[in-house]
This record gives sequence, structure tokens and C-alpha cells, in this order.
Amino acid sequence: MAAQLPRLLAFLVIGLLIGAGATYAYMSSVMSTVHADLNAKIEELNGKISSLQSIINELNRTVEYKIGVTLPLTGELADVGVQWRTVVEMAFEDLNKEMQKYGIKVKFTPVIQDDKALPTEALVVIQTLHQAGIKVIIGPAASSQVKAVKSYADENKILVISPSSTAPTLAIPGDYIYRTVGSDAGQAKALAALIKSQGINKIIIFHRDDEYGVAFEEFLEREFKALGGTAIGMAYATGLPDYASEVAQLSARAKEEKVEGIVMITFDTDGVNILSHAKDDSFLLSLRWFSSEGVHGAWGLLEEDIANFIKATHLLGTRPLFRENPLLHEFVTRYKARTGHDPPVFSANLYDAVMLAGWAIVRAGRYDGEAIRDSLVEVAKKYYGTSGLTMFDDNGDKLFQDYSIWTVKFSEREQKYVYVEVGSYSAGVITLEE
Amino acid sequence: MMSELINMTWYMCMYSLMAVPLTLSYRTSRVLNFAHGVYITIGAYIPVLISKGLSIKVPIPLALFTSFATGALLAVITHILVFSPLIKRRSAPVTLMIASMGAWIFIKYMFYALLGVLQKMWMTPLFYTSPNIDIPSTITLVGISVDTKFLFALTLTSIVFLLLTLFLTKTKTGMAIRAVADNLELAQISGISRERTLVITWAISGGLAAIGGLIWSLFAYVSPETGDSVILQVFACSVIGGLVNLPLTFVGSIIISSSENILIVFLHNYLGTPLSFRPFISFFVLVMTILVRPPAGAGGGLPYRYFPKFKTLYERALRVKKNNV
Repeated sequence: MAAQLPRLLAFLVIGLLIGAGATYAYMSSVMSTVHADLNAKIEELNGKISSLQSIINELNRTVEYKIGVTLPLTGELADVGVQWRTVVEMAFEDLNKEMQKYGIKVKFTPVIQDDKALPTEALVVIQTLHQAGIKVIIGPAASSQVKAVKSYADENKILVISPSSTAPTLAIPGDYIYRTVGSDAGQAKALAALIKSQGINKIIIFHRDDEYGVAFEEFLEREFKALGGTAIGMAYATGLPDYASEVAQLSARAKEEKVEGIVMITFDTDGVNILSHAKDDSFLLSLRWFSSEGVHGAWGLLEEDIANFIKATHLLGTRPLFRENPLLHEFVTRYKARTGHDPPVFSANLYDAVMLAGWAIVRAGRYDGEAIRDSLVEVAKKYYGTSGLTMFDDNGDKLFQDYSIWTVKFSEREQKYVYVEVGSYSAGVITLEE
Repeated sequence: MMSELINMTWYMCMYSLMAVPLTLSYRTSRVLNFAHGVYITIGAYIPVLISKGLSIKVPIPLALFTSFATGALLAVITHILVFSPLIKRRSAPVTLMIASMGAWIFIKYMFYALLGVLQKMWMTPLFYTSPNIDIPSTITLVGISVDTKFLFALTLTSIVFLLLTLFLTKTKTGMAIRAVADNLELAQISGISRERTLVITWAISGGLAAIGGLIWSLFAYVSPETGDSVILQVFACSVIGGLVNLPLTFVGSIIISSSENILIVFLHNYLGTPLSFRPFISFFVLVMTILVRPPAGAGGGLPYRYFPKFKTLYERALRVKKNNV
């Protein structure tokens, strides 16, 4: 037994070694399987954590939406177009501040393009903005431009919100054109009532030969005739550098027809040009003059010689404006502090167009033209802005539109000529302060 | 009718001051310059910028001098930077024309940007405005009250063309300009420097166009589109002059201004033509002129092509002209 002990110990050690090795091998394979399982589980968990993190980042990320803005920064409406640019900047600043205030992680960026007040350029701008992926566009300003872009906007489901197109011929339901201003069908009523209230019975309507001017003349003539007056239309070509010849013809025609008043349906630059020549005509100086909103805001009317003509002829104009609106007063004060002068016509409508577009995108929840359009109608029903109630009618035009009566007077306080509101037209009633 | 005649005279003064330099620049340099409109615009705006920037009434001599100098300088710079390098490379006329379009767009929108900056700085409107020039509105001559600006425009136009005629016919430089325009090779052989002549021609062309713009600013409001909005009428006047004949260009300005102010009145009163047809009149005259008498001696016009008698007369006239030369 004692002699066999070393052999037994040797077998034991060898057996232990073999056993240890086998056990190690077995355990390794088992552990590697366990490790693999664990790694797989860890990876799965990491994936879930990543996707949760993405969701958290998504929720915290500020979504940026671009809104196209097409303005007449050059060309016929440039005088007011550059002023409207300031309104757009103010509106976007206020819109983004509201988003921050309500904790909505959305930011709106304007993409401003110049359409030169031309229909062809407006279409080019809309196409360019659409190619850049923009589905909501503020503008264009002129009715002729809106007409030019309508079919492209409808085909491509681009929501177009014009703050200043007023031609009644564009009041069409079911399209992608919305206007934050009432159509001229309403303003024609207001202007006709104003002219009649001044005791004028025979007028010449001196109007632009474009979508805006022709439609306005047609409606004004109809409304004025309904009130017992006589109206004669005289169209002039748009886009000309000067209208001295046309004004001379206007004077000759006015003498021939023995009219009592002239109504001008113009834009800003042509309107100023017409008045600059009319002031040198003694016969035209003896008549009463009236105007639509087109020339309101033009700097030229505040020059002394034209302002004197306005005073001499007691020129009164109408424009879409809800005068008694406190939000409007606040906007005017802020605009004046920024620029040193009052905002031009359609500024309130432009401001509200931007706000409505922004809130419509937020409500829609996605950047899709059709969804935003449907959302716009709902947002407008409840929105009250600088232009008052913004609800749209079935044609996509502003449903409730009041009109203000304006003229130009010398301000003793500011020691310069300024635009002043001297009355209003609401629910068929003219109220004049002078 | 008096107001129509006065308007016609105004336009005649403006169009002639704008079109004659265009013809002068083309006949000398063979560049159909589409940037001509910006010289008119700049000339119209110089007194505006002086009066608004310095808040003064601009004296007439200062307005004249600054407008002329700025228009001349701009035209010379455009020639040195754009046309001269291309002419030295013997570029085709169409290339020069396209280059002038590029210069036109560049200068115009640089000017828009400048006006935008100045408008914000000065807090005063600049995009559609008029200058504050120190000129009384009316003066009394032999008991008649006359519009001073109208009288000034008429007098200035007369003096400018008298001086231009004397310059081109009586001075060495003027004769050198005519020589380069008529026969470049012969002029160079005679020792006339083409480059120097071109620089002087562009200076006169730009300066006179700017004076035309200044007259415009006395008549109507100015905008950055002023030059562009009259450029087609200006081209019409030049085309009537065949793009090479200065006196005929002046006649062209009379034709275009009278058709826009007198003819349209007759058409409106007797045929009921709407006033909005006024722009059509100028271009109708332009098209008819190109058909009947193509500019720059480009072959015979319609009568010569389709009526043999006219063709014979034309060829005979050409032979006479060649023999005289």
C-alpha cells in the first residue's frame, strides 16, 4: 500500500488536471453563451435608449418652418413695398415670440422675394419658392399678380395669402387663394356712399387698366348709379413712366362732360404722378377729388405742392381699416417708433396674414399645403388681430371689413403733412369728422 | 390742345437729350448700350440725393454739373471695365450688347441697394420722389406767366445741342470722334487714338443722358425705374435716326413725342381709341421705321424689297453716295 501511494497520488493529480481542464472548457462555453446573451440584451437595451433619446431630442428640437413672402420691393409699388418689408419683419418677430411664450418648439423664418409688382415676376417667385419646398406664401400684393399665380398655386397645393389683393373677380371658393382684406365690392359701396354724401352727382372714374382698376371701376359705377349718380370710366395704361398726357385728356374729358368730381383708382407711384400733373391744371383744381386705397401711404402725397392740391380739392379716400381697433393702435405706435412714420395701407392686413399663416401651420401639425389651408380657415374663425376679425367668407376673403375715410393734412404737432383718418364706413353708414 | 403741345415739347426735350447720346455712342463704338437707361436714372437722382442728403435747395448750376459729371464718370467706368477689354479682344457686337445688359442689371440693382441704405439712414423716402431744386415755379415774361421749369428745359436743350454741334464740327476732338465713327482704320492711320476718342465719346454720352434724367426730374417724379421705363422710347428715337444719324435722331424724338401726346389725342377723340394705347404708338412707329428704313444701313427696307422702282432708286442713291465718297 505504501509503495502504491505515489502512483495513486500521480493518478489523482492527473485526474484533477484533466477534470479541471474539462470543467474549464465546459464553463467557458457556457459563459460565452451567457456573455453572448447578455451582450445581445445590452445592445437591445442600448437601441431602445437611443430611440428614446431621439424621441426626447425630437421633442426638445425647435422645428423651423419657412414661409415665403413675395413683396414689390422694386417697380410700381416699391414706395409702399419697402415699408411693407418692415411690417413683415415685425410680424415674424412677434410670431416667434408667441411660440416661445407658449412653449411651442417652432420657429418661423421668412423667405422674402421681390416680385417687382409684375404678374410674370410673381409667378416666377411662387415657382422658385415652391421649388425650395415652401408651401405657404404671403403675397403677392396686386390682384393682377394673384390672378397670374392662382392656377399654379391650386395645382401644387400652395397656400397663397394676399394681404392687399381686392379685385372682386378673384372671389372664388375652393381654391388656395386667401385674402386677409375684403374685396372691392365692399369698398365700392363705401366710396360710392362717400361721394354721394358730399353732394357729387357726376364723376369720372380714372382707373388703372388692370385687374384691380377695371373691377373696381365696374363695381363703383354700378353702386354710384344705384345711388342716382352718373359715372364715366376712363382707363389708363399701367407701368408708364409718366401720365401727363393722360391727365391732360382727363381734364379735357371732365370739361366736356361737365363732371363734378374725379375718382382715382391707382397704385402709389402712378397716383402720385397723376396728382403731380393734376395740380398744374386749373380746371382739375376746381373739382372734388376722391380716391381708393391704392395711393394711400405714398410719400409723394405728403410733399407740400401735392398736399396743397389735396387740401384745395378736399380729396377724400377710402381704405380697408378697422379704426377703432386697440390692437391696430398698438401696432401703429410700434411701427412708428421703429421707422419714424405711420404704416402704409394694408399693413394691418399683412401683419395678420403672417400671424394666421404661422398659427395655421402649428395647428395643422405638418407642413402640407392642404392641411394648412384647412387649418387656416379654422384659425381665422377665432383670431382677432390688428385688422380686426379675420374670419374668411366662402370665397376665402375677409368676411368682416370696415372702411376708413382718409385724407392728408398738415400736423401742427409734427410740423409736416401726414395721412389722417377723418371718418369711417360701417354697416352702410358714413361717419365724417369734418 | 395747349397742354398737349406743352407736354409734347417737354417730351421732345427729354427724349432728344436721352436719344442723341445713345446714337453718338453707338456710331462711334458700335456698342448697343442697354446700360444707357441707368445713366438717365443716375442723372435724375443726383439732385434728389444732394437735396435730401444735405437738406438744401439745389442750385441749378450745381445740379447740372453734378448730374453731367456723374453720368459721364459712370459711362467712362463702364467702358473701361466692360466694353474696352471686349473690344480689344475683337468681340462680336452681340457680345458687347450682352455685356451692356449685364452692366445695366449690375448698376441698377447696386443703386437699388444704395437707395435702400440711404433711405434707412436719412429716414426719408427715396424710391419715388422729386428733387428740391432752387427754381421758381413761374416767371413773368412780357406780361405772360410762364412755367420756369418748362422754359429752362427748352433753353437747356437748345444750348446743349448747339454746343454739341459746335463741338462735333468745329473742334479737333469732335472731328476725331466723327472720323472714328465714319472710318476707324483711316482715323487710326491719321494718328487719332481710338481709345481716347471712345473715352471722350462715352463721357459725353453718359453726361448728356444724365442731363436728360435731370430734366425728367423737373417734369415728373423719379424712381430707380425711370431710365428703364423710357429706354424703349429712347431706342425708338435712335432707330428713327438709323442709330447713326444725330439730326435724324432729334427728328425721331419729335416724332415719338408728338405721337405720344398729339396723335393719341386725335385717335382718342375721333376714333375712341383708349388712352391705354399710348405705349403702342411709340412701338408701332419703331416697327414701321425698322421695316421701311432699317437702322445702321442694314439693307433696304420694305418698299425697296417689294417694289422694283424703289429698289432701282435705292441702288442709284447708293451708287451716288459711293461716288461722292
